[in-house]
Amino acid sequence: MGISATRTVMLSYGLSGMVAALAGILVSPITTVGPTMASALVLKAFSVAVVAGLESGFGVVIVGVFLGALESIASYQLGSGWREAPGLVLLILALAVRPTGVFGKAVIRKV
Amino acid sequence: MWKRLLLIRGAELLMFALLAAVPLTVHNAYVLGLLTLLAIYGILLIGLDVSVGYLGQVNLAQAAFLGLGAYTAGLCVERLGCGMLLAALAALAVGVILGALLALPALRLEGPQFALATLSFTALTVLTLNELEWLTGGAQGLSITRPPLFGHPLDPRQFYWLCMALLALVWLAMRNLLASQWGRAFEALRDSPIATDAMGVGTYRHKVAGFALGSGLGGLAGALYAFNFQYLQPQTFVYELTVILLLGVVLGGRKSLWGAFVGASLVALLPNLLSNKLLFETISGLGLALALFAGVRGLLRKTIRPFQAIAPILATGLLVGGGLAVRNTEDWRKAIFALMLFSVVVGLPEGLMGFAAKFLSQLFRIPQAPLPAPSPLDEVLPARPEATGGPLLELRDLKRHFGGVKAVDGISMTVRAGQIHGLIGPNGSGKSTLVNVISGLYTPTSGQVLLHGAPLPQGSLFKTARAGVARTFQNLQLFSGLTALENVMVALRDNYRRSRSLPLVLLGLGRPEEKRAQADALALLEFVGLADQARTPARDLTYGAQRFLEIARATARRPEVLILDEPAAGLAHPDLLRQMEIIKKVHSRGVTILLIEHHMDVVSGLCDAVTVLDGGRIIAEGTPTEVKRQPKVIEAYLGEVEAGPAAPAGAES
Repeated sequence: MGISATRTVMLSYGLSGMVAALAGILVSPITTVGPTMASALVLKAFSVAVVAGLESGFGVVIVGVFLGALESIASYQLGSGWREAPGLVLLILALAVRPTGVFGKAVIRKV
Repeated sequence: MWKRLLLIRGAELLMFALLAAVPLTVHNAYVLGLLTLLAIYGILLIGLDVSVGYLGQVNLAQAAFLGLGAYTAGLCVERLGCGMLLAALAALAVGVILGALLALPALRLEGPQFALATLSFTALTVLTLNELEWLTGGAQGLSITRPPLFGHPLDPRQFYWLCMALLALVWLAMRNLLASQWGRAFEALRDSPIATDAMGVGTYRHKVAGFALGSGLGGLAGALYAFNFQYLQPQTFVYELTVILLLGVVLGGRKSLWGAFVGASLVALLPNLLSNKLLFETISGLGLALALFAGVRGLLRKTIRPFQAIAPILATGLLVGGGLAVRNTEDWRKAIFALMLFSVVVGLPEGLMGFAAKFLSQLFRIPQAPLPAPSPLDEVLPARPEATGGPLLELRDLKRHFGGVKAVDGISMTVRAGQIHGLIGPNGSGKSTLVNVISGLYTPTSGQVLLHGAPLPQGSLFKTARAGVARTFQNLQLFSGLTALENVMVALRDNYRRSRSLPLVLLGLGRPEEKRAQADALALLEFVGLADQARTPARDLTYGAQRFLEIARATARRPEVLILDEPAAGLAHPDLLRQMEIIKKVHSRGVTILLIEHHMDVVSGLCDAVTVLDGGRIIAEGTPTEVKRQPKVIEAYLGEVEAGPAAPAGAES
């Protein structure tokens, strides 16, 4: 259709990199910065994206806020070690109930 | 035949005999420890290969099952005073049970979602082991004394033999399993879950069983791990180990016991690989040599693209060069894993053993085991008694809406026993949706389907198939990695009793039935004229042959009703005639057929009755000649055909 697929993909990667950098700017004052800081965050970010549904920008925000609140409550109630546990359980369950994400569209199988 | 047995079984025997003999000649505690670890990782990776290789899923939970098994065994010994056998069995059971529990939700997922679910499980496991301090000792770790086996304490040499014996047992059991209906079902559901369900082989239950089995082996390996190291820490079983295990399976070669074994030696050697500079140089040098060999060979034979040849050479070259330049290789471990994984995934997608197997089978010309003579057709597809012509399959006011689109909008029709009933209509008239509703792929919005007056299960391909309705697919859904013979064998599964029971198959008692299944499947291939291509992988068959194979596979279900979804779509004229002959032959065995078709001449030539759809509703019914005369039909359907007789019949999907 006259649109360079390679360029579009490059642009979208560039955009996601930009948003990630923005998140980095925002997160740096509240945590320690180091080359390995991403690994903990990546799992969380990916979880949020998948639970919310990969196509839903609005859903990501809602689920992200929800997960943050859940972690704080868990660490207060159960002790800081358990902080991530409810989120992880919820992640597995949410995926099982709605594989395409809470805000994602249901996919119709075709043959 | 003998050559084949000698080479394949002989190699296995030789390897285990050599491994068992090592402690008799080498009295080095360090080497013994390494070999023990090799046996343990072997069991672990064979388990992981079930989900990664056979089910085709990225499983990131195997390290967690290793940890869970290790802690279960450790706690059984320390808190309950169990012996070795009981503790190992407990670990195995915990692996199976937790594996099944994780699989029930997780295996409804595919691809990245599944990987994420298993990754979460690993994180959750480590977290729990860490936090349950009163039970596991938390981050302090758990010390275990190696328990006696049947009252006899084991020295390291005896323990090594025990681990090797267990690896050999697991090896045997898995070989039995993978060469059985189960192994084929695993491969089938990876290629096409929809068709697997439609052949009456439950996709979901097979996945869960396979995953639970693999996790159980993880648990067993965990028990041995605990007895071996006698000290456990939650941090051992984190994400990083999972990635290394995955690297082991992919590097060794998926879907291969030998591959898992080679992968295990890599995983066991890895810590040494990183601390011992000479070893690292040797291995990365060997890797570079292999990459050069495979790359140049592939380029000369033009079997691979230049990128595939050059990228692994560059990556392994970087490993060699980096190894020379960097002082402490441990600091670069992640980069090293990444480079290794990259070069294998690009250069040897089938892994080391996959590559070696191809190479060796060319070198030795290992002949394939001969096929048995085909069974008599009357045994495989018994002719049904003369049909009464009474109603067999009835649709009652069937509807299926997608949002506002009324794809099927109130269809009532009757398919009579022993007839070939045609279902025709222009593109988008709802034929395919109707078939998908009847066969259980879609749940109807409302309405009923009756078989012999009793309602058919709704919304489950698997249950509908079990009820006696088989189908083919318009856009072929063959198990492309399996041979033509194996495609049919998957669908034959219900005819054999032992092959269905997992324990019996693991013990190797399913083998006599396996021969019969081959004979039966061969009879059906002969029935559609594909007997001489029994060994050809389905993906390498010609398009026409693939269409014939779809029908052979569906008839293996011995269906009462066979639904053929555009069986002639895209066929050239000679193949079209052959296909019509096959349909007639299936019909002559007393199978009632519902034929969805585009070609009017196929319908006129075959059908006893025809139903014409347009816009999700029935616009005409009757014999082909009657229907053709109706003005509504001519307007909606035949007009289109007359305008372009060569209209691409496969255009609708």
